[in-house]
Amino acid sequence: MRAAASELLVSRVNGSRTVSTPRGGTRHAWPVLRLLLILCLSAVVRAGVHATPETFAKESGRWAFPELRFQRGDDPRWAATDFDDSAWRVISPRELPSRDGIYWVRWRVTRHMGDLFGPRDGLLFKMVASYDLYWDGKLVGRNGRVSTVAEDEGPGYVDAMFQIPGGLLAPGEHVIALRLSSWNTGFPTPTYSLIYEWGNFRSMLVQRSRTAIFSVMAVGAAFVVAIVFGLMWLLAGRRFPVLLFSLLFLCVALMQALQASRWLFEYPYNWHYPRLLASTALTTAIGALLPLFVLHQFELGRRRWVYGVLAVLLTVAWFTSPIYNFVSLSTCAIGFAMALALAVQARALRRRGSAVACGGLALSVYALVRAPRDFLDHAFFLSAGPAVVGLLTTIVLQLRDERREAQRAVLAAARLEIELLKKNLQPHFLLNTLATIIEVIEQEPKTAVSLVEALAGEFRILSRVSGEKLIPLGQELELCRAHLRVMSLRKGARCTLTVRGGCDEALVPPALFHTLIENGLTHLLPIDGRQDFELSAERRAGGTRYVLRAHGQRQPADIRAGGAADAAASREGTGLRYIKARLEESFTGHWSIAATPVPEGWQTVIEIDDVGGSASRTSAERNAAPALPEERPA
Amino acid sequence: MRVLIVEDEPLLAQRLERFCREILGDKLEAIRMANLFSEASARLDESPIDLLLLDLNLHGRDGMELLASSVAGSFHTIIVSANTEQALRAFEYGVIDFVPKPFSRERLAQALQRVTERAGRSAGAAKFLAVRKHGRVELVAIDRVLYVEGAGAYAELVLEDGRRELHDKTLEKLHALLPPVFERVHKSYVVRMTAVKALHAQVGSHYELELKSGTRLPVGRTRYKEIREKLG
Repeated sequence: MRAAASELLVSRVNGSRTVSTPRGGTRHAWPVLRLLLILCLSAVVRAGVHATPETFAKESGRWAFPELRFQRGDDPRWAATDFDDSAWRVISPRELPSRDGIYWVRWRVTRHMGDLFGPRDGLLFKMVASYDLYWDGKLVGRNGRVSTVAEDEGPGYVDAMFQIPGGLLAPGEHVIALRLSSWNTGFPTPTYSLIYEWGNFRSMLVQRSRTAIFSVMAVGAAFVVAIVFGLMWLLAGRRFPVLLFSLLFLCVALMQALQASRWLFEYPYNWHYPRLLASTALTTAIGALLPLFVLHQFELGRRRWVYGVLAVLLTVAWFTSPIYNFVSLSTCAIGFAMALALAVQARALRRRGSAVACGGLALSVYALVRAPRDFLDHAFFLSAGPAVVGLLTTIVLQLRDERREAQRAVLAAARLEIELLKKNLQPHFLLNTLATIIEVIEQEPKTAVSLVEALAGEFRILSRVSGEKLIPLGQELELCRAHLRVMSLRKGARCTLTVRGGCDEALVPPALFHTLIENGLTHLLPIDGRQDFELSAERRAGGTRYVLRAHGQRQPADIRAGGAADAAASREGTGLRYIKARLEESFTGHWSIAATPVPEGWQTVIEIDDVGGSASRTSAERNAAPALPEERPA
Repeated sequence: MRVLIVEDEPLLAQRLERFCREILGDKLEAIRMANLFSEASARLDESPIDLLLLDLNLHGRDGMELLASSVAGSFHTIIVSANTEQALRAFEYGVIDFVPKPFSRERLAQALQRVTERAGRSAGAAKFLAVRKHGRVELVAIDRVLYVEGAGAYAELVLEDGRRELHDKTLEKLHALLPPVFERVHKSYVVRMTAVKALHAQVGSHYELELKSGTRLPVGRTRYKEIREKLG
């Protein structure tokens, strides 16, 4: 029956070709992943097929599984050492009946001389039953109240320890007899197991308190991780993978708390079944959260397939075995194996931190396959440790990248602001203007006054907008006109700006058109004492289109560059670089600029999409045409 | 003196012109203005000049090319610019002065003096001499020049490897640009003194310089004493 279920599990794994389909160049990695998955799961399943309490016990060597003599009914004489039980039925310790009135079992043990670790005066039983314990016909202890009817039974503890009085420990054969009833077990199975240990009472006590240490440590560590990442999710960006990570560790903490509770708090045996159910549910949650985290952290595709396959595998795992520890182990194995497969896929896609995650998960999967029994128990954190470290490293790497990116953005913004100020404070503008001012002071004082006023006007607007990332178009036009007033006086030409279309409220980066006008004034010569700029701002579906046309006579070098794009394409003026950086800062991927020579001068078209509008443009689209050549004489 | 002013801001061009007239007075033969150097340079063959006042932004390749073709000419170049951080570069190329904007009459007078005076030297240290070759301008590192030989309106640069390059400037104008290590030893020769091996007195008041390369150059009678003192 169990073997059939295991085959079912394996066949599911075989059928899971689409756990997550790799994209692009990772197709070659997929067969490897599938093989890996199958190997892991089948190894765990094989371990599980033989996973009965006996095999576990034989491996660990501590627990005894005697042949029992079994008899229904109740008779105090059955406790006696010399009672002849040869007519009683022989059963295995796994065949004790649940919900079946009172019955007795008897078996014999032999004490040899020379116990190394003190007298074997302790007995530890693990059973979902109430019982009275007799040693050589003497009542040594009671665990709960045995009864013929369910209502009257007082459930005993799952784990119970008894000390055998010193006078009863002579070398030779001894008889252990138990008078049992198990009405409140809760387990759906008709039988339950008798597991016991016979040893030194004192060292058994020490052993018992030591068992809980790892689990308790694990609880603390996992809770801390869960809280830290929970807070991180709550307060720093609400990234889904971080929430998954926090939940994963919450489940680990609760699961380990449940494990530890057995050693720290005695509880009656009727709590054992709900506790196991809860524990298995938690490991199932861990098995689900682990691959989900990897899936989201590395932003892998085909999520629905992964969800589906995961749900099927975990559901199947619940029916593979009546032993809940094994179900827990299966769900864990599924979780780790799928997480590893996904991490390998992420590695193939060269996701950040995926190599570390792969390494950690692989080590943990190896630990799981080699020592499945230890994996869930107190050694959980040792076995799962590499995976935890690997995944933590991925998150930390990502956080570091994000912080660097944020720093970079702040720096870039600061640099742009400085660049804007520098553009206007740089020697060739200010000093040339001052040179002109000196000339007009001497020659035509009246013009000098208006030139100084115009210059002051430009700087006033500039100081108002320099700290902003975006300003209303109206303010930008004010800045442009102030600049043109200065340049009109300097150039002795009438430099004007006409605007068509009313988009005064539209937001643009500061000095966007100011920079283009500056470039136009540098590269074009006035015709008949005039240099005109025309700006049309046009709202269209999904964005705004600006066309700035600069009228003037192109300089010889420019005419050459206009014919052969090579010179212009090979380098880009600082002005244009500033414009592109500013547009990218505020409209990442949603803008384009194209500058072309036209018969009357230069024309620059800037399109800005409404945020959240059409899809991002590629950088090729953004630089549709050769830009203005580098700025020259001022 | 014939002067060309290249300045695209009319008020500043006007200021330069006025100052030139005031400072040069009768020495000024002609003065012309242009918006762009490329515009004016085409006509330089028909109407040659002695001095160019050039407003030039040296940023980028175009600026440097323009400067190189300017200093390769037969005339002296004075840069008048607000981009003072480019002064050093301009001097390396062999301009005779760099006048920062805004400029005063006194500063311009000082620059013009370097051109008009006989012993006027460049205000900076040239590192290259621009020579026109097959319609292109090439830069010759001054470190490689052994001596310069005057040839009428031209001068010939003689390099360490024996190559000769023809320069459009007169020997006098070139001497004004060369660093102090170059001395005028003869009306037709300017020599790098560190390349000199010995000074020989021949029969009949003939004097000769022997260079380390073995070349012998004549030394002017009037200059002999001075040269001997300098060589120690």
